[in-house]
Amino acid sequence: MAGPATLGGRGYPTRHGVIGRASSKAPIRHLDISLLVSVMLLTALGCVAVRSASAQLLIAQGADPDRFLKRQLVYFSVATVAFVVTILGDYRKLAPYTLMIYGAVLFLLLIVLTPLGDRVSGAQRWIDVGIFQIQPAELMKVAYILLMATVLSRNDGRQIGPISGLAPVIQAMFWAAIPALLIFLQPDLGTASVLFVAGFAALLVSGVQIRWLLLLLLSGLLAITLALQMDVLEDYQVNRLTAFMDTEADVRGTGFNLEQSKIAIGSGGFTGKGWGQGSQTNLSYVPEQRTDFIFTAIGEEKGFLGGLTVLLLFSTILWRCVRTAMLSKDIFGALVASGVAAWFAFQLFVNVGMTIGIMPITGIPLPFVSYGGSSLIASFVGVGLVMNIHMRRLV
Amino acid sequence: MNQGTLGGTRLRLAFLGAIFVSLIATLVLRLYFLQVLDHSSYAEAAQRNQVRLVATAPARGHILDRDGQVLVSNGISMEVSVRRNELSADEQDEVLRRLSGVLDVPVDQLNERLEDKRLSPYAPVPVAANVPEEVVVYIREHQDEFPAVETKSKPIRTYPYGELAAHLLGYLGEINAEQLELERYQDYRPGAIIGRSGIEYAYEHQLHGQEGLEKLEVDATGKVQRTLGRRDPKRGYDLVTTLDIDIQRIAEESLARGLEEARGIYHEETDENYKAPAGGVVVMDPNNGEVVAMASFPTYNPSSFVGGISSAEFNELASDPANPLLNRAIQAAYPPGSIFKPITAMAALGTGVASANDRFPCPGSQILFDQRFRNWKSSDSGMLSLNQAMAESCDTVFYPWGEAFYRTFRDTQQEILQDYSRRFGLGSPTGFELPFEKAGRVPDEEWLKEVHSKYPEAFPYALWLPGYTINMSIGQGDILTTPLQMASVYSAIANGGTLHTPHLGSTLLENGEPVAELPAGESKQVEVDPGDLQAVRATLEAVTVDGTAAAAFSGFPLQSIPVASKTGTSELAGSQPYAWFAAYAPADDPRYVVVVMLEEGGHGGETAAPVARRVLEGLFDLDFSTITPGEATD
Repeated sequence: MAGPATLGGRGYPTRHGVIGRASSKAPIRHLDISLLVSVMLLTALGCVAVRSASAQLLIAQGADPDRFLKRQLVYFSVATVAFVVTILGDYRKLAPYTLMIYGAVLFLLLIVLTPLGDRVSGAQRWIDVGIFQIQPAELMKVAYILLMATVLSRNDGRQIGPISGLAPVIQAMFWAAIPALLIFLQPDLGTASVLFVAGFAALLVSGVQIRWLLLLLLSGLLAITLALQMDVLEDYQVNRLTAFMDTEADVRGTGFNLEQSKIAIGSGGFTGKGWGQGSQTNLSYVPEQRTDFIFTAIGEEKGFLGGLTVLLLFSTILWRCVRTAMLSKDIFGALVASGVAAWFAFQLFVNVGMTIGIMPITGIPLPFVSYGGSSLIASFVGVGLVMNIHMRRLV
Repeated sequence: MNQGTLGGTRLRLAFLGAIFVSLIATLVLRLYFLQVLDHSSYAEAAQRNQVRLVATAPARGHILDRDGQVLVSNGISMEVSVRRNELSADEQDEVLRRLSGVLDVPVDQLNERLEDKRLSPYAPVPVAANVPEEVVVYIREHQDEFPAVETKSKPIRTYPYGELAAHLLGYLGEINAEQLELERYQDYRPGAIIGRSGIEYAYEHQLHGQEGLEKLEVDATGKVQRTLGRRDPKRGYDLVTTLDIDIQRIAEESLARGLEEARGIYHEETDENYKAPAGGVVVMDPNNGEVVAMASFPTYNPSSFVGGISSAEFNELASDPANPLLNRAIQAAYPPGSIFKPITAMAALGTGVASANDRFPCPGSQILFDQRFRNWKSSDSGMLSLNQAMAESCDTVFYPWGEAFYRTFRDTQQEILQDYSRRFGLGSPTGFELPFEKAGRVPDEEWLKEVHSKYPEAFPYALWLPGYTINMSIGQGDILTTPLQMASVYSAIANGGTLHTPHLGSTLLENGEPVAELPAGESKQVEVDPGDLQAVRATLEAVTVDGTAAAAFSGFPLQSIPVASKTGTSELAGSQPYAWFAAYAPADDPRYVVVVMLEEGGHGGETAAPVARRVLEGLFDLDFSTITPGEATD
């Protein structure tokens, strides 16, 4: 076992340790400040954007223009509490419970599909628990990443050595397939695909031979191609598939949404039109603008600089996640950190890519920024796990 | 984590990091393209998105006669429209059945309007105009029984003088797709109402005015958020014309009566009365080309076009064999017959073929180039002066001049008669403002070659024969002129040789104040010797005093108002003769030129001259004589 110095960590020589207080290895002294600041800034930026994107419509409806901002701030507080809870105990102690957590969330996913689930604009994704609604699919991202880390580190956080063979690949896909199928049925193609991407990233990091990863990639591509070709053959199936993928976003036709979103962002220019000044956003030319299309409001009103700020904050978060994975004392931590990073990176790329016309329209929120409690809380728990690993890299 | 695996895991994590970097780089690049490089096109698109222009049609200018009498003004018509794309077939039947009841219009007629292919399927289809107010109120109060039915007021043209001057005033219609492509309508939008014929067409740009625009900000659903700016519509200019509506009425009445009179005269060769189905009258000021009146028979009611004419109504007008939409004064050309003779005389005098002091034999017929040419009467009239030859309209005096012109042509290729015809503006449109003016035809060898190659059966020879020129000398054969062209010729004769462009437009008014004089068109001097012109004018005075028009003008105060004139009777194979009459008065100080043409109306002196006489009586405030046939002279 190498000492922390070998890993390049910021270990403090013991002679500078503060007597009577936490030792230099105490987790609380190893908070990743830049990760924390990035997440907080991004979430704050999201709150401003949510207000700007929703105020005009609320005013037109005679409602409180700050209605969605206030709710998002409540979600922000809840998410912060969840974050604090997540960093309290040693993440390694979670390993024995990951299957249980996974099972519990899977149960919630099943409930969503029963009449107990809430149906909103053609999709059944929520469970109403009185004060608020929860979206189990978001929680499944965390549960699945934890389970994968457990499986691929052979159920023992301290286990050393790379994993190999086809078995873990099949295992990973199996554990992803069950919730993915349930999420597909909601229907929510985007969230389902997040699981496979996070699983793939965990497999990559776990040390599975490159050939199996390539095989997995190829079969994934083949499956997509087959699905598309089948749909080309039958016209009504194409329509069904597009409707299936875009229930949430498709209000007046996919092409219309895409074009309007591009117009909004392109018209923002270098510095943007200013908060509350975006005509495309204010006049509702862009659909779902406080949730899936929140980046459009930022692009239109804060321009290229605003968009760049979002991407820079995400870059920092991803960098800190990958770095944490590298610093992690054990493969379990490395797998969790890289799984969380892949989750954020995939959602960032698909969501922003959709608003600027390089990705198809799928209902995937932009982590930390889009309006919505479940997504925000799940994202904060994900960051909390990474922070937990970072804090305990020396113990 | 042991040293051995550490390297592998770090490498794989670095690879994962590289993927993240490339994904974010892709997004940054794409954002740069959209927001920095392509910014302007998207900014424009965003602008277009939110801004809608709503146009308000301007009030169209009025059309006035020379004394300020309003000939065309604006009114309001309540119109009932159906948004046909909102109704299923069953609903449509039901709604039309109810509409038919309240509008008192047969269901079939409503259906026909609704199925009209010329109208946009998306715009409401007007099914009834001039709907009484109580019907409009009823429909509005029972709107649930009339789904997709709307009522609105619509500005329309009103005609205080009814059918008078219908051909001159013209009518309006909605601009169509082809017209929108034209440069003439480059500032027009779909749905604009434009002049389709007559003055409404010719002075469209002056009468139309400028549409009002409202710039509105709309949201994605098209709901108006606020007004960004507006420009009020600007009313079109009022147009003062050279028309005198009183003379116009007299000209139209006289023409109609003259035709009716002609239909009572027996025509021996066809063994039936003259058909006299149609005719035209032009009254013009020879000193400046101002058209004072222009009549065409049969006519139509311009109100038929108000509020959009139905296909059936339009087809009925357009396919009527009597062709009431045709303005015969400018849109139809006929052989001029003997009213062409002054041009022949001037050509003969101008080229030395004849001299004003000569005397000319007037036999019943003569043989030229082995072909017999007959005078219009078979008896020999002896030796005639130039005045007598014109007064008598003796064809056998003119034939030898035609023969001489032919010989010149044969020897030198000079086409003297054609040349003189063109000097007086024949063979090309006069330049009158109203659309679709005919050019007529001055036949020559070149023309003959062209029609021969196109229609070898109708024109078997490409060779210009002597008879062609000889016939042309009396205005027969293939020469064609419009009544307006002949009015222009006689104006030039009357005013000493100036060819003015005939015109109707005079002044533009804004709020009753003149703002612009309309250009009168160009004037040019006809290349003829003034002495020859004077000699020809003298011959025309003789026509009214003791020539072919003397009978028609018996009792007319020629001493105080001398009239110079010429009768004409032109033959067209297979038809009864066409009657022509051209006159100007007073002969010593011409103020008006009057030309009358009656299709298959008999002889000029017999039927056309009395019409012109009545118009002259109106022009000089004389008591009207009843129209009675004159002598059956040429």
